[in-house]
Amino acid sequence: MTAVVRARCGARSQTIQAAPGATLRRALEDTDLRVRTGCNGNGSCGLCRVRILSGAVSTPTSEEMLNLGPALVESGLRLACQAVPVGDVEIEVVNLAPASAWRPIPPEALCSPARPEVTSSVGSARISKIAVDVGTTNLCLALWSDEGQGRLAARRGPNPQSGFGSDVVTRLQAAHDPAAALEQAHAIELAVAEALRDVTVSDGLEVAARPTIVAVGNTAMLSLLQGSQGGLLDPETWAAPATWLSERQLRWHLGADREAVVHLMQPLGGFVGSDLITAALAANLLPGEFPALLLDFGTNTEIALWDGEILWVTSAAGGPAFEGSGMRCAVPADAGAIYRVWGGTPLRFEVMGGGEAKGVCGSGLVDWVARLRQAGALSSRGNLVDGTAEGALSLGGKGSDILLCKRDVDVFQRAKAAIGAGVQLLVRRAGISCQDLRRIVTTGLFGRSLDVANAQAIGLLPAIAPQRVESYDNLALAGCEIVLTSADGSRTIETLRRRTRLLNLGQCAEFEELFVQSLFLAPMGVEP
Amino acid sequence: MDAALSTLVAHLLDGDSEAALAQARRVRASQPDGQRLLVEGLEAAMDGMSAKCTTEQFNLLEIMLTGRAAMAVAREAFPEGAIPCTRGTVVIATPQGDVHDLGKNITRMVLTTKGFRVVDCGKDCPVAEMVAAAAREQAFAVLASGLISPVVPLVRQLRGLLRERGLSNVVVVAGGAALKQCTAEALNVDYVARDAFDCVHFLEGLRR
Ligand code: B12
Ligand code: FES
Repeated sequence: MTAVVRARCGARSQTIQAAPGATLRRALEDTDLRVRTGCNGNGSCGLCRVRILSGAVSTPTSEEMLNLGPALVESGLRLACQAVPVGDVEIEVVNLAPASAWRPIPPEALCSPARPEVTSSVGSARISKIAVDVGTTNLCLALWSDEGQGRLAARRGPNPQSGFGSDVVTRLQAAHDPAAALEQAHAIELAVAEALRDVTVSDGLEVAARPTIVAVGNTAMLSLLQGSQGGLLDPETWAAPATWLSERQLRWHLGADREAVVHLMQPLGGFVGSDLITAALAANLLPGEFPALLLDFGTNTEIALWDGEILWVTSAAGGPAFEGSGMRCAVPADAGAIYRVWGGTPLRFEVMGGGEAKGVCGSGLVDWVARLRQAGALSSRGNLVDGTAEGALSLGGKGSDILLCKRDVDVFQRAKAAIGAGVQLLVRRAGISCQDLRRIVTTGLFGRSLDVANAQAIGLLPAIAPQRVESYDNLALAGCEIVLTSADGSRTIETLRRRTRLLNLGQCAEFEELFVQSLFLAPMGVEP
Repeated sequence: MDAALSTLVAHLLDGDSEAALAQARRVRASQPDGQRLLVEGLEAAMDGMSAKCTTEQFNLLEIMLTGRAAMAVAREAFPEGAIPCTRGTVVIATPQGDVHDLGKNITRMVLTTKGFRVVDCGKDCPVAEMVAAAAREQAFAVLASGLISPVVPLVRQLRGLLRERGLSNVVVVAGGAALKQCTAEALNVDYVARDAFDCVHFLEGLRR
């Protein structure tokens, strides 16, 4: 028997006939009330939240209990990928997937030490050069003209491969099947075509028939772009320098009779991609003051340390806690996300887009944890000193859904610890200490919202004078643009490459010791 | 429980290696049967940690600190490395392709302080090597720790490989974030442990 699902979100509503046994996520899939998802519906990301307003659904699964906790489940909150309607139901979509996938990137978000000025132009011109940063979660594009008008537009949109899994291992594993591997490669091509369509429609720009594309990304993304998993699941492959992936050219069909030549920029090796090397270029790491540390935050945070002679690089898979997954209160940095927390009791906060708070994004989490530490409500070991009934602390006052419990803090600590251990190992290999750093550059998921003092207080960044720490939104794309538009860029990249030395955290005996030390919510490298 | 011993247990649960070590020395020096008491203290601390883990009161940091403190006390009590292993031998490893070994190391510490002899084959370990170690060391159990999903098919091979060597009586236990999402049938193992303590209970049940 089919069930009738009446779904709503804000003023929008829709009525769907759900197939027998279909989950709510499946039922919503073809509507414009799709739920967000980060795990292809296996119940591990906790993003696909809906509220049951009336009617009955299947009993909560262990995944739901784990991601939401008994109190939220009791209050009617459920995961759409787990809950199956038992008869007719009425639901509210709590975490809606964005309607238009592509959003403009503001020009100031692409400023970098190497190109501090805003190079965007307005007016009509033809797009002939495209820089693409293929991230695990997002694709970012910068669109340039040939005729000296500079950057014409920039776009950010979701990586459509997330349907194959939110993390790279799940996607690489799916790519064992050659058809699925090709499908993942094709998905990116289609997404870029879609972004171009969005630009032509909303910005009135034209695209050349044979545009040139330079693409950077992490190793897994570059490998999947070639329709292969590149042996990346085998430690022997990723422990070696990335000679297996040569500079490659692809051809993409981008709608009508448009065909682009795509230059894939070779990764640095291991899980350290070419996005880190373009970020180093845009950060002016080589000509700048050293020792200098560069962190490109993400699910897999890539770290570089320039000591004047060697560019030490590594990657630390801290997991997606800062990206809005794995913690009950976390959401991606989009409208409705609390991205700043300050003050004492009560804590005050700022919501992206100004509306109602849906959860906390990475930079907000860093602030929140740091404020709780400072107020003595959270110990350096991650214990909540006095929480509410469920042992949780809430943000947003009485009855707020935005809760932080010990288990969430644990997830946060693990993500932070992997990064902290990575930084300290690079610093050790270079034979210096964190205090010797003259410069820290951060980019990636926190963008410019990261509060440096808070990040230092909990040990996410080394504690050097705050004015020596610079934050940028997307240096990987900014550097990719430089390569696309200047010959100097490519030369600097070659120099950086020759100086690079890869460190594999999986092969470092001291990792465990530094990981334990970095689990403490305390300044980096200080024994608590 | 003896007051000096309760203090030792409290220091262990606090994850305070230094205080626990000092107290262990005191217990051993001041009591005729110090050695036996230490074993009792370690066991009591492990039981305390087990209870806290089950109710999710302990986070990863606390587990690691207590585990380390317990190992330090065990080494102090039995300096020549001869921690008594009355409960039999087990083999543990993180299978090939996976380099995550923190969970495996915690499990090794817990089992060691609980009186098992643990043969650690390390990380990124071929399953054939795990089976060979089980034969060589006359283990009664093989334990696999997996943090990334690609190790699932390898874990599935363990029972077959043991059978080929005439070791069908050796039990296979799986644990770690990626494996504990699967059922024992799906992994073709005897048991999927929620955590290290759950594994201890399962193994103790077998020996009884
Ligand atoms: C630390 C870490 C690393 C370190 C590992 C260092 C080391 N020596 O172990 C480094 C930086 C090297 C690393 C590398 C990689 N990692 Co990593 N890593 C993590 C991290 C942050 C913590 C994992 C951890 O140690 N947990 C702590 C342990 C103690 O927990 P646990 O396993 O659940 O163990 C408990 C129980 O399960 C039990 N237990 C464990 N094993 C066993 C066994 C038995 C028999 C029993 C009874 C019990 C038991 O004991 C523990 C206590 O109770 C997680 C993210 C996270 N926040 O969890 C990612 C994570 C595991 N890594 C991940 C990935 C993808 C990688 C990489 C592939 C890099 C990349 N591109 O992203 C590489 C290479 C991995 C490889 N091929 O093996 C993913 C896996 C995703 C997936 N779907 O499989 C995660 C989840 C992060 C993410 N979401 O992206 N990583
Ligand atoms: S889609 Fe439901 S939890 Fe990930």
